[in-house]
Amino acid sequence: MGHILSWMTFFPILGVIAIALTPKTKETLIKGIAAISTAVPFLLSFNIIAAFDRTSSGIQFEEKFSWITSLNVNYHMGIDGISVLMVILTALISFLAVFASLNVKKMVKGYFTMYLLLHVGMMGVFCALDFFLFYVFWEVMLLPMYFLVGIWGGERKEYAAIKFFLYTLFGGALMLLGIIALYMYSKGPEGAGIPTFNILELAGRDWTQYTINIFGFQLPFDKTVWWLLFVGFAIKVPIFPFHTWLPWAHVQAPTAVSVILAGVLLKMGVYGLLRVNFAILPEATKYFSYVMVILGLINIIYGALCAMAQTDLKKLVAYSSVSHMGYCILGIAVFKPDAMAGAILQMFNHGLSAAMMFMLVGILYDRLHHRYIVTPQGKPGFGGIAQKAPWITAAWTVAIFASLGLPGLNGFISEALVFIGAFQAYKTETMIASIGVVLGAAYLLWMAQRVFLGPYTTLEKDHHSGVLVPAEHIAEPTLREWIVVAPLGFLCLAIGLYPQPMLNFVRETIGKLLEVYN
Amino acid sequence: MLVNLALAIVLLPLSAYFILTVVGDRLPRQGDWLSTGAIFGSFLCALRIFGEMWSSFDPAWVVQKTWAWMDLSTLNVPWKLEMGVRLDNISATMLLMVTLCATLIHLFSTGYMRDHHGKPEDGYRYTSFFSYLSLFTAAMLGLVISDNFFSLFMCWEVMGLCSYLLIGFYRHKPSAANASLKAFMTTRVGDLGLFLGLLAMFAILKSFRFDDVYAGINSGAFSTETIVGVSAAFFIGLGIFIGTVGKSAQFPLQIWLPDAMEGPTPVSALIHAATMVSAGIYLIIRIFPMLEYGGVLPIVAYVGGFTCFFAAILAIKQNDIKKVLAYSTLSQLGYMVLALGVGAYSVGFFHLITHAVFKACLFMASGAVIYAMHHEQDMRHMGGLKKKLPITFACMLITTLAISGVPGFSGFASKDLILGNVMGYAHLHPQHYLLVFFGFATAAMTAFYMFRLIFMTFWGEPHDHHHYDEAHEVSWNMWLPLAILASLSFCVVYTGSITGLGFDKIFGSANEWILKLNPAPMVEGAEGSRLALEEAAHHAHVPTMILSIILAGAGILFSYLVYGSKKISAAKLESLWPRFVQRAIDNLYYFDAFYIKVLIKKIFLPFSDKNAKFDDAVIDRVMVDGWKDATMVGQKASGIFDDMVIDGVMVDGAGGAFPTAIGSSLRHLQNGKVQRYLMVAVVALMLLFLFRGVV
Repeated sequence: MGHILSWMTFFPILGVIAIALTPKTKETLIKGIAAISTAVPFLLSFNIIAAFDRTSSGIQFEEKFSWITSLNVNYHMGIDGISVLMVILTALISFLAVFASLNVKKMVKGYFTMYLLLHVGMMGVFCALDFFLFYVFWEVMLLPMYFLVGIWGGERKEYAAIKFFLYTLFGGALMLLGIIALYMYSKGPEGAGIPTFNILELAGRDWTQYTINIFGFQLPFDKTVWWLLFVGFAIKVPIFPFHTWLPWAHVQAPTAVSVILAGVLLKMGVYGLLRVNFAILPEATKYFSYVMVILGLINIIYGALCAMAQTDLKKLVAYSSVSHMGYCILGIAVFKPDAMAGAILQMFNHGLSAAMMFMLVGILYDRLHHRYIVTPQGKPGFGGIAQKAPWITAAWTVAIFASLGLPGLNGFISEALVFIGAFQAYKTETMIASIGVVLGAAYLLWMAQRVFLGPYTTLEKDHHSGVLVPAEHIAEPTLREWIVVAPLGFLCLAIGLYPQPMLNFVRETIGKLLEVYN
Repeated sequence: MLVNLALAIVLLPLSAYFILTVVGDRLPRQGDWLSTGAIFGSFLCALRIFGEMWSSFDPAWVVQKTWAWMDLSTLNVPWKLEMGVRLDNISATMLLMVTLCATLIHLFSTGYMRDHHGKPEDGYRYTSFFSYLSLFTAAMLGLVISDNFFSLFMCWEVMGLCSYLLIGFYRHKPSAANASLKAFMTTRVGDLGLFLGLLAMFAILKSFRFDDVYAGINSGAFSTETIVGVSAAFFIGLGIFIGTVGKSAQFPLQIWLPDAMEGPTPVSALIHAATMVSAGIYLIIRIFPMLEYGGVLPIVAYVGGFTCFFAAILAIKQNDIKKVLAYSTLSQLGYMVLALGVGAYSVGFFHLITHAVFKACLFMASGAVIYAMHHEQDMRHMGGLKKKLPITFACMLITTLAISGVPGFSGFASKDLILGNVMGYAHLHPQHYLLVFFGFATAAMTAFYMFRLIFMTFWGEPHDHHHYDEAHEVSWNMWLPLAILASLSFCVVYTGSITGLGFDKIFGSANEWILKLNPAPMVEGAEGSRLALEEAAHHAHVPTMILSIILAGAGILFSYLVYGSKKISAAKLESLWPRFVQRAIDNLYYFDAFYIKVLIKKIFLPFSDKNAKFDDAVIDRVMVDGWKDATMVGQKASGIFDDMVIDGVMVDGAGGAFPTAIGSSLRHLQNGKVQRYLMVAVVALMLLFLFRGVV
């Protein structure tokens, strides 16, 4: 099948058109269209899994034709070992999150339009190999996300949405500067060549020969551009201190959007670092690698400590994402194949376990209409849920233990690989980072204890009065909810037991990417 | 063939776990027979493997097979992580011990976990109980057959999970939830040490396999490297030993084990006496050459010696029957660690096996008592039960004699050897005589507190007539496991000598077979010191034996005088201790207070709170206000910027004060203009993609 990546990326556009033509009262039909529009890319991703050549380190499923000739912009799509897992993850999470969205009541038509546009942007970012195209997709993703949080979010959705928007826009602006700089300088030392946006071509250049004049300072070109791009991606990861949009966006976003945010969006930052900073600017990356190690370490510890103190269940999970993404940063920054594989796998694994956890937060929220581990009055908001809803508890247990890195579940594999690789390069730093493993267990299990164990003290927010009253009953997950949770839980277990199929995708590409580093 | 059997040993309980998890509550008897049957199948396989090992009776007997599990090799760089099965004398013996104890404890649980009318005690949770037990046994057995430290570590952690789930099994009880959290977190701290040790091992060796590690030591792979200022071998050895300290509840991470008694009694017997906690000892046995080579052994010895001593003191004061056994387990584990620390490798392993058998029996017997007494655990409310529970009493008495070190019972043989080796070690290194004191003092105290348990529970007059009158002997599925384990607590099983004193060997070749079959893996340069220890222990043997018998006898006699015949008043005896010592003992030496009240509640949680406040008040504020200021500067610098570049939403949002301005700007959205925004967004996107310079 030709043009598979284009189909995967743009098929949801057909859904957008179909939804636009559907009257807004036919909500079931709209939901059906959305499900089909995401099911097709999901099914196509199996084709990718089957046809992807694991022994090649190059670009596969490549599509390339001229788009804006005057600027030498191409429509250039393709995936390699780094992006293939992200493409699969995007297709999977987007498909599952439709089911998490089926209970949306407000402006269903607008919601699913935005949802499908978001899908286009996310998938496009992972497939694009032309910088211009990459940037277009990057920005396309921003707008739907802004509306999804700002319209369908929680009580302070506007604040959260604008915060997300500004942060990401700022990062995008810096990235655009970096892209333009690379484009301009790609003409070669004499300025005679044809400039290019082609990421693969840019990767082969020697950027250390240039300097760039900013406000009268002669700065080394590659290091300057590296920072422009790095900050742009760091906001998305998010790396400390650019992370404060994340708890807000997560807490206020509707369940499905949180799932996507944690499952896919955060991975774009790390993916961007690998695809752009690592591949195009290796000298600068080497030069600043220690900065990344320290930032990764801060993310791990700082995120975990913040999570420890949260009294809002969703915010706790959000900060745990900050902590977990730190392993990715640490893993890529040490230039070891095992750590790199661990970091990429960690992106995938965190995509599964965090998505699962946000879905489970949503399940509790739908039933109890609050998220207080401790209420503002200082009373326990949950407690003893295990007695009333053992299946919800069981699903939570899987998500919690996958997330805290229990062997046999996926998180362990990626974290262990990151640590194995990182320890070879930075012993003391890795030892400090490994405290994050203990902290991770601490905040997650402490949360589990307060929410699920002990005497039954769970409260629910009354629909009419908005007052917290004791909840008499907690319904077990419905079929719709199981459709989201069960596959994620199964994958967590499968990857934890036998990670090799995942590693097969990435190892050759990692070997090639790291060639310049060793 | 044997490798397949070994895999079957693990897979049987593992599949039982999965089946019970999915359909367990729909099976007859909620599937308890499935779990029990699976582990019995494992036992049969283990018996076959053990038989194979026994028939060759060769210290070098090894069967192993390895598979690649993770493979990141590219054309130029090989990188493989292998998993494999290793059957040698140690794992074959361990397999037999674990499967035997587990089978019997499963059988015991089919009675214990039902109420007095034979119904499952806790509804559908009866199934979960057995499924967790199955998962636990699978993990423990996986750990034993592992040929490398990585899969060992994985199983190690899964056991931690099961321990967490089973300690917190009565999950409506806050104390159970607390205990399970405490157990998981404390062992996790130890596991961090283990994990770092493994990382260092891999960084140097690129392998986790036992064989590669031993070969690496002998080829000097660890001789030049240093890690954070200490030699690599010391770093790895100490790290891995910290793992043991967590899992086997040694000082200073011992605090979780007594609380773990919140779990059902069969769990205490299986996990917190016979198997999981002794996995820590097993780990020391596997990493022993590294400890020897890296010079960690003296630390090991002192940790073990100190733990066995102070835990025994605590055991004397406990009134909860399970707590006595918990502290006794701490103490006995300390013995094993002490033995390994002085270099007595096979002896430590010997005590691991004998202790597992008699301690599992002791715990189950206490469980039978608790069951008969309708869940009364306080020994002060018991008494006189020997007439009511004759079989339980007999089994408990035999195993108590074993743990007290009375000749003729298994504990005597192994403990006597430990003391002999400690004594020999002290002869060689006179600065370590403190260890001898720890060892012998503990021997006396063990006999004392164990017989205190017997006398308080089974002797004298009943203190609670209501419970006493209702008490009756437990059913066959509960007493049979006791009887089997008690019969394995005789010396002759392990040494071929009826009394254990050595003059009455009834089968020659198998005399002290555990010692013969399990010599420590050789490390270059260690031969001399090992021979010296053997020699010294041999010379110290007879005097220590006499002394240990005297001490055990004195302990039992004293216990009888205080709690049996009551010739000496216990209260008066207690008042002889200085007040501050009593208070320290009552407060468990303030360990819990220090860890929980000071380290966690006073330092760690406030710190994480401050950290979160910092995140909110400083980082977030700087980023947000920084935005505002930056935009203001931008506005002033160029008015055009305001009109053309940034749209209204952005300026209002960033330039105005958060969050009121956002509200006003976003009001447009809620005033029904959303549709228009959406349309604009969609159309813009379509245009972007349709626009191509030249088609």
